[in-house]
Parts: sequence; C-alpha cells; structure tokens
Amino acid sequence: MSSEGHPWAPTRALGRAVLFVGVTVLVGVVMGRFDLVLIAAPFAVGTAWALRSRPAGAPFVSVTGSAEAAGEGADITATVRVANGSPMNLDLVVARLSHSPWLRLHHGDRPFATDLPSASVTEVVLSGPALRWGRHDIGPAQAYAVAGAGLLVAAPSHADKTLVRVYPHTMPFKADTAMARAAGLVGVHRSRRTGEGGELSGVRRFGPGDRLRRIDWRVTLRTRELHIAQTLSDRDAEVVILLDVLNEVGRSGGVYGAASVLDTTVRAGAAIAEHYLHQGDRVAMLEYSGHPRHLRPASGKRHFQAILEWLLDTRAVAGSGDPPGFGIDPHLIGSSAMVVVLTPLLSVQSVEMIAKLARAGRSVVAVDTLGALAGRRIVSSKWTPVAVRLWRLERENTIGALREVGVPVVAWAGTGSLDDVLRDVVRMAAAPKVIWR
Amino acid sequence: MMGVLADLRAVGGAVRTRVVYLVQIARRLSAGPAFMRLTAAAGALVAVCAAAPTPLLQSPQISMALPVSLGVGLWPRTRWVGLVGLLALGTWVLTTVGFEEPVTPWRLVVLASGLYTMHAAAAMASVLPYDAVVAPAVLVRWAARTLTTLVASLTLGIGGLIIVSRLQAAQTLAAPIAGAVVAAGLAGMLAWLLLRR
Repeated sequence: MSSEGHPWAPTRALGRAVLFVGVTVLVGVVMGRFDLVLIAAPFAVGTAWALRSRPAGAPFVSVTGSAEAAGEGADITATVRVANGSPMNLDLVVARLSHSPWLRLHHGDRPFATDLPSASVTEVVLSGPALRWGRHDIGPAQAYAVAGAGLLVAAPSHADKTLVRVYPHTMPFKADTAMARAAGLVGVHRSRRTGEGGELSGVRRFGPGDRLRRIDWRVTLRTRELHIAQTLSDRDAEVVILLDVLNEVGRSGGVYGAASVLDTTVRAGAAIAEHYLHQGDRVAMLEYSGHPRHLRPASGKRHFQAILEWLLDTRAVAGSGDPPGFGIDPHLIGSSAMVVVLTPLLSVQSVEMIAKLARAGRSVVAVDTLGALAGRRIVSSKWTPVAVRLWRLERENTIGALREVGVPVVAWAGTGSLDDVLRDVVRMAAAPKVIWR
Repeated sequence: MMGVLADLRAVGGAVRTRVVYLVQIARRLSAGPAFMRLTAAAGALVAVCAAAPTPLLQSPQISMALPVSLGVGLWPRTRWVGLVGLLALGTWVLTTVGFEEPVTPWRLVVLASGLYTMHAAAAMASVLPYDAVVAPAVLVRWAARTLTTLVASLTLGIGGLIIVSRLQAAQTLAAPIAGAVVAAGLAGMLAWLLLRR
C-alpha cells in the first residue's frame, strides 16, 4: 500500500469553475449586468461548498485472494478493500484490480466506483472460475479517490499482488496391471499404509476408485449399503513420475479448452500419482528441464497434497545446453522403481535420457504427451508438408529405437492407457537381463 | 505509384485500428459513466439553446448545437467543456445586447441550470472511467448535491435580480463598485479555499 506525491490535487473542473466565475462576474460588473452574476452563482456556490473541507489523506487499498487452493474450473474469490481514514466522506473511490488471465472473475476487467463514508472500509468481492492450474496473480490493485464533487482527486494508492493456488484437474486414470517389481512382503512387518494386500485392516463404505472385488457382501447386505474390506498394503513398490518439460507445444485453452503439452503432462502426472498413492505405493516426482526438481518418494494423502503443490511450480523452461543441467542423478531413482516418463518426445536430450535409464536397468514406461498436437495441420510454404512428413518419420524412428532398448511408448489416453505397456514391463522385469554399463 | 498505394494502405490500417478501438470502447461503456456523459451533453445543449437568439433558434443552423454539445459528453476531460460554457455565455451577451431580447427570469434559470449541470456532470465524468461499474449511491449523491446547489444559488440570484430591478440607484456609479467588490470577494474566497491546507 502506498500513495505517491502530494495526496490531493485540483482537477481541470476546478480551474474551469474558477475561470468561469471570474470571467462572468467581471463581464457582468463591466457591463452592469446582474443576470451574468446570477449565471455565475451556481458555479461559485457549488465550488465553495465543495471546497469547504478537504480530506486529509489518500485512501488505502489492499488485496486478498482465496487462502484455500482450488481445483481447475472451481471458483476462487478475490477481495479488494479500500479504507478511508479521513474524517471526511469521499464522493467517489475508483478501484481497479489486475489479475491473471487464467482467472475469469465476474466484472474483474472493469474498475469499480463507489462512495466511501469517513472512517470506513468498503469491500469489492469478485469471484469466478480458475481456468488453469498454477499459481495465479491477484493484483496489483490501484485506487484513487475523488472529493469535492469531482474538483479534487487523490494520488493513486497501490496494493501489491497476492497469489492463489489452483491445483491441476486430475484426469481419470486407472491401471489394473500389477507393479513391475512388487514381489511381496518386505521383512516381517506389515505396512502401515492401506492398499492392495491380504491383511484385513477394517471395513468401510465403498468410495470412488474402490475395486468391486473388495466389496464385503455380508456387511453390505446387513447394512444395505456398499462396504468394502480394506487391507494393508503388501507391496513395496516405488513409482517415479518423471515430467519432461524441456518443451512446451500448443496453446493452452485452460480447463475448458485445448490442452498444451505442459497441461497434459501436469494433469497426467497428478492422475498417475493419485492412482498409485491410492494403491498404497510410494510415489516420487522428478522434473526433467534446464532446472531439474525432485520430490522424495512417500505415500499417503498428505504426500498427494505435496505432489499437487510441487506440480504448481512446473514450468516449460529449456536448459542452457549445459550438460549437467540435463542429467538425472541415478541416485534419485531406486533400482526397483518403476519410472513413468511423461514426455512429448521432441528433444534429443529427452530421448537419450530415457534410453540411458532403461540401459541402467530401470523399468521405464514412456507416455507420449504430444497427443493430437502431433497431427495438427500446419499451413505455411509448399515445403511444410514435406518437412512435417520427415519429422513424423523421424519421430516414429525415435519411438521404435526406444522400444528396441526396452522402453514401451504409449500415448496418454487416461483410464487404462498404461495397462498394455505395464504388462510388458512386468514380463520384462521378471526375465533375466543384461545391464549395459 | 507503389509508394502512394503503400501510404494509402497504411492510412487505411490506421483508420481501421481506430474504428476497432472505438467499437471496443462502445461495447465496454457502462451505464453509470454513460449517464454522466449524456447528462453533461444534455446540459450543454440546454444552455446553448437557452442562450441562442430567437431567429437562430427558429433556423436550421441551431442543429450545430448538437455536435457541439455531444463533444462535451465525448471529451469531458478536455478544455472543450470550458469553451462550450464560454460560447453559451458569449451567445447570451450577444442575444441580449445585439438582438435586444429581454432578460426573462425563466430563460436565465434554464441557462444557468444547463451550464452548471454541464460543468458538474463533466467534472464527475472526467474522473469516472468509461467502463466502470458504478454504485447507484454515487449517482444519487451527485444528483442531490447538484440540485441543492442549483436551488440555493438560483433562489438567491433571482431574489437579488428582483431587488436590483427595483432599485433605480443601480444605474449609478455605486453599482459597478459594489459589483467589483463582490467579484473580488468571490475570487479571494475561491483562492483561499483552494490554497489552504
């Protein structure tokens, strides 16, 4: 919050009123015309009344956004508060709020004008849907006050921006196939996490995502409501979700429009993480970009919240070309972990990184996030179709080369999109193999 | 030839950009600021018509008052508002002196009301963004204030006019001296109100 310079200044209307009164009265006196004095009378009386008292300081403005994170498409709220600390009423306060284009606030693109009594605060509450995941700006806001019926205007006050969090929409995802290296119990202790297993931990009501074979029919018949038998997890599986965000392709249309590569990557990452965490597995996150980031493996609902927060900072930032920037530290990925790489397969570095992981003995699945954007028509010169054809052939070649080193590549299609390739991964993980070093 | 065509194309592009900009403004114009601008333009039209001599009022040339008044509504922040005020004042002097039309109280009240309404509405319109969402209380407060100012000042003025018209002494030298003192007093009061902290 700040106000700049001298808080109150006369407007052009004040100069006009003084000039008009002066000219009219002068002409009236010179010509001996009282009717001209009468014409000037409202100007003189109105100006004198407006200036009889003047506000002491400029108004203060502040901005707040929803403290709770919202999902894509859900409503968020932004509040602009303007306070009048002066003992005088303000005829008009005009407040304007800037905000991220991904927030569709009702009347958010218009300034608001209201009067403001002395020693009071007025609030303008704007709400509307958040169209895209991420951390979005609300603010900065600007407000200026007008007093004396438009004859005095205050220097504008400013409020700094604040951020609202919008979690990615988790696309529907389900994989029925078992994990590649979840061989059974680890040690003699049961896991504290619920998930797929044989040890009963309790009976609870059926919820979305629960398997039908888990229904406890005796309890269900007794209570006349679907119940499932909840078990403790027997698995010791770790899933590493690797987001390849070296390149952004396509224009994001938000939650209701077309998805860019980054949108698909983040939403698919959230969906896969949610699925495996629900199964009781441990999930780690890795970002493959010029500025790699890592989230340690963990399980449970709280870790899913941590993953959503981590995903908010995902940016498509290409690296400087510095080789260490593109490297993935092998210690970050456990030898028994299954690595799901969400990649548009557009850069050579990404393909080399995936192949290197597979050669190091990791179970890797590449999920193609380019989707329909690969088939997009590009109209330019007469050579463009030839260039596009060449690029497609090269890409098919790359995908074939990845399959040769044992990395199944599948296009992201939501529910069940990984089932086929996961079966292959399970078979390959069970077979004896030679590791190239 | 090619250069002329390129220049014409550039001018056409600039005009098109300007038209698109104006259409966008017209689409975003909201009710509150539109009301203030229309009121300012209506005040200007009333003032100019009240000041105009009867032969001009009865001729087609009076239609020129319409674009002049609309300018007040379109550009309330500019000097155009002051110029229209001075134009109405000059026309009034010309009507009463040049055409020797009588100064009737009703015409004087209409002229003074039109001029002050134009000024007050333009003052508010100049600080109100054209696309602002305006609380109704702002407009009600402005209307009440303008009406009170007009009623108070014109009641005093008409009273003064009646007294002056009955005083034969007003034709003497004392009247201009008293008027000059009143004018100096008014100017001094406004300057003091403006400059004080």
